[in-house]
Amino acid sequence: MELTGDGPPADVSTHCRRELMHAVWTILLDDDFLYAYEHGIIILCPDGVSRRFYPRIFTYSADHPEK
Amino acid sequence: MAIDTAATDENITLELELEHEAPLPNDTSQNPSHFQPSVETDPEINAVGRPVRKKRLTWKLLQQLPAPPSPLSEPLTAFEGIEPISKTSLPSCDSEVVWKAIKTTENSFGLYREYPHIPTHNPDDTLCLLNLVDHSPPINETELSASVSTPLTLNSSSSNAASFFPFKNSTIFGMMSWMWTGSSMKSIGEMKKLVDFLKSNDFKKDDLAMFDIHAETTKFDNYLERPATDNLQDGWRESEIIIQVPDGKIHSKDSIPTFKVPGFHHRSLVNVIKAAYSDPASTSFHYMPFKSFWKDSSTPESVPQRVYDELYSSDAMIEAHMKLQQQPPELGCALERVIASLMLWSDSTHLANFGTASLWPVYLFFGNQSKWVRGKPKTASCHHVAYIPKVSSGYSI
Repeated sequence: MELTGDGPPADVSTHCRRELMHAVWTILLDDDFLYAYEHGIIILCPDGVSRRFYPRIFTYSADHPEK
Repeated sequence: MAIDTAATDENITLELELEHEAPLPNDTSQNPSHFQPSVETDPEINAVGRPVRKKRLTWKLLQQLPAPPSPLSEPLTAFEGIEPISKTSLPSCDSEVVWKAIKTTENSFGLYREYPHIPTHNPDDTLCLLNLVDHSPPINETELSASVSTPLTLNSSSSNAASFFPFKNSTIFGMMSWMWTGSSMKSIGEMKKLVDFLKSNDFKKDDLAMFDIHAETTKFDNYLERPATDNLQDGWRESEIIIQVPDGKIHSKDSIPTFKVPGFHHRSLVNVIKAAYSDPASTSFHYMPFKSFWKDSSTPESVPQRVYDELYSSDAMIEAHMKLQQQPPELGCALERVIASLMLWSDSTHLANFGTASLWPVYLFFGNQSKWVRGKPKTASCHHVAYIPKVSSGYSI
């Protein structure tokens, strides 16, 4: 690191990875998604009926590399 | 073997009526677990002089073919006024939205379902035996349910005008395609391909007036090596992630040192959802969750047991659905409100058994689909929505 001159210690790396995951989800759950969560989005389904879909997350399996 | 025994009386039944439902025919092949051997008669003697052993059908022969769930009959408007007997799954019932326990009849395995309202779309109506078995069907079976096996095609909307890009027309496209694909040596096969192309309507002699193979190839190379940001039509975007890093010193809020991680490719979740739910393959999706029950038909007084087999028969989905129905609707919108259930995975993988190339994708699956379909790779049920860049341990800012 330019600031300290050494490589980052292990717990800083872990911190960075955690921050990375959180930042990733901040980007993925964008305004469009949050709007859809609240108000739903209208989609024309293949059976010809339009429905208002509200996305809901039911499962999230993540492997979080510790190192 | 009659698979649709229970579906012969296709009425929507209430819980009370279930007690009086005609018992399944007393056929031992229907209830293999309760098989009773018939009364022993005097054993016959075979040619050798030994008693002939009474032959009983093995489990494999007794085993029933998988049966689809019983169909729900056409909605009867008269049913709407009948009060439900079973309780809702939510504790608060003061709103008008109640759980109308609309039950299907039991199928041959004793399974039945209970819907909260009459479903507007039941994908299981179109299930046939081929959808329920694991082995691939014999060649002469042509009745494969297309809705279950067709893979999703997300980028299916490409107009004709853009399809020859970066080449001007179909002629140049075809010539370049012939030149740069297939074998690099002259052969009869390559000749055939070329002649077929020249005979087709895609080839027009006038288009080749200014054709220069070097120029076209250079154009093609430039197209292939264009920077990634040009790929907007796929919906993939590339962003930089900025994370805050501690360096052991005290900082004010604005001057915390940050570390930029570039190369985060992702696409809009909403677009993926829209594309998937409007695709024809989504006819296999369930929009309305239900409770699944099993009733032991050999003992009529047994209590039906709840069966949890899919995300759309789970309490979580049912709760989310009821909560959504009780929420005030959007202004001026009378459309059916439905849950799009998302299942997310992220997993870092190595791309090959050698080297260090690796990816860390985020996958999206839809819980509205049956797990039996979702788990099959050829149904293309998995959607990649992001690739997380790795932060290597040897980084320096």
